[in-house]
Amino acid sequence: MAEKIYLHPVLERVWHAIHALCIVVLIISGAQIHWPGAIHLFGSFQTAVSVHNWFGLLLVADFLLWLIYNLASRRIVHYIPNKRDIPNGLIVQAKFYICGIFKHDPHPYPPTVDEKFNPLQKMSYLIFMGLMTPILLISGILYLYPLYFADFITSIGGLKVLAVIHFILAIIFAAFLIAHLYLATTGHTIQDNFISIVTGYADSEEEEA
Amino acid sequence: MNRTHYYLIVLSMCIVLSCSNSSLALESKCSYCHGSVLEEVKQSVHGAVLGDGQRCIICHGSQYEQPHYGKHIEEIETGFEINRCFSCHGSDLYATHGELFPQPPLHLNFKGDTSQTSCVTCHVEEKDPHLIKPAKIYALKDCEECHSSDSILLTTPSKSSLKHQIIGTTFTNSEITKRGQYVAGANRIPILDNLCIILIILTIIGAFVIHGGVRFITRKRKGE
Repeated sequence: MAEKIYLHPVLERVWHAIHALCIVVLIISGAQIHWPGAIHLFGSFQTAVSVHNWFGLLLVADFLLWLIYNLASRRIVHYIPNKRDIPNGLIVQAKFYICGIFKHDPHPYPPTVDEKFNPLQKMSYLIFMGLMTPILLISGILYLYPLYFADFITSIGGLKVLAVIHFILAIIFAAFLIAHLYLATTGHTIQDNFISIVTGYADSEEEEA
Repeated sequence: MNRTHYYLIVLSMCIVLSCSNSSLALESKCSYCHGSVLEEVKQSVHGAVLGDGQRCIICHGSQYEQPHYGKHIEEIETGFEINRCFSCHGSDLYATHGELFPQPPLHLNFKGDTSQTSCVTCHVEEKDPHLIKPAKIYALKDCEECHSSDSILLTTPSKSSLKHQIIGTTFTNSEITKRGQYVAGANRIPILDNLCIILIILTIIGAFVIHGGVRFITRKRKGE
């Protein structure tokens, strides 16, 4: 039986739960705002806008919690690729997903207490949390308070440019969410990683999403 | 008083009366061509509030004191600017409209090029700008009247061809976006929408159907 390791401290699990809730609600309410004729999950357009605004602000707070916590605790190192990861680690991990996983090869980079992400996870999480999430949140804040940032918005081409940036990023996040949920099923069993992000404990040889 | 003095006094009174009623006379001149419009204004919420002689130029400007007939209709501007609404209604617009939607300044066009929405967009029925009814009786309050694919702000036919919707690269409402606006729910880049939907579908198929399917086929059987 695989050894259990404590991979996700409680604060990270709380952060992840809030983050997941926000992302799902924002994608659905955002889709209703963009396609109001096709999606009515939150009722009226105005309700969808209010929900989107409040959960957007919650996501800003949640992101700041993640940033401050990881910087203060130095757990940000989990997100930083090392020399082994680029490019060899990325190639090995990609080969595993393309081929090895079907032959039941062991995970090339099983999570450990000191290094809980594989090279592809590090790279993708770093890009999403370090670059794309800030741009998404900043574009959302500008869109939420356009009159306070009127000069800047005008300088980048107006609300339409801002809206398109926000929309493209939102779609990328939606695609990432789908891939994230799928890769979470690639643990020892389909449900292992879902249990792990709730309890905090993971098998030392299992794969994360 | 001799007869000459009497005629001079009557003439002077006529001149004074004529001057004091010049705008009323102007309104009569307007109604010579725009009689039905003037009747609509009288029936509107402004009809009771604005007195005789104020109903035309208070919204359209004093330049219309001069007759403008003899020109083609395309050459004649209406002379209407949204600021003319604010000159009378500007005191508590933020508060009253803030109860209806967020960002009242953005919606009401107080700031630069971020919006050009006109009051009449929501306050007239059947697109007749002169027949403005009291807001309690008629005013658009449903966000989706503007924020939808069938937005009343759209100038491009909403039922454009399927080909246009798929390969179009412009915003569906070029007139609005020319003015720097973006109305969520109404404005879109059709090809971007379609590419994004394709990306989502391909991600689902690629991950859950193809990769997941091969994993299922190659799964470990019992006893292996």
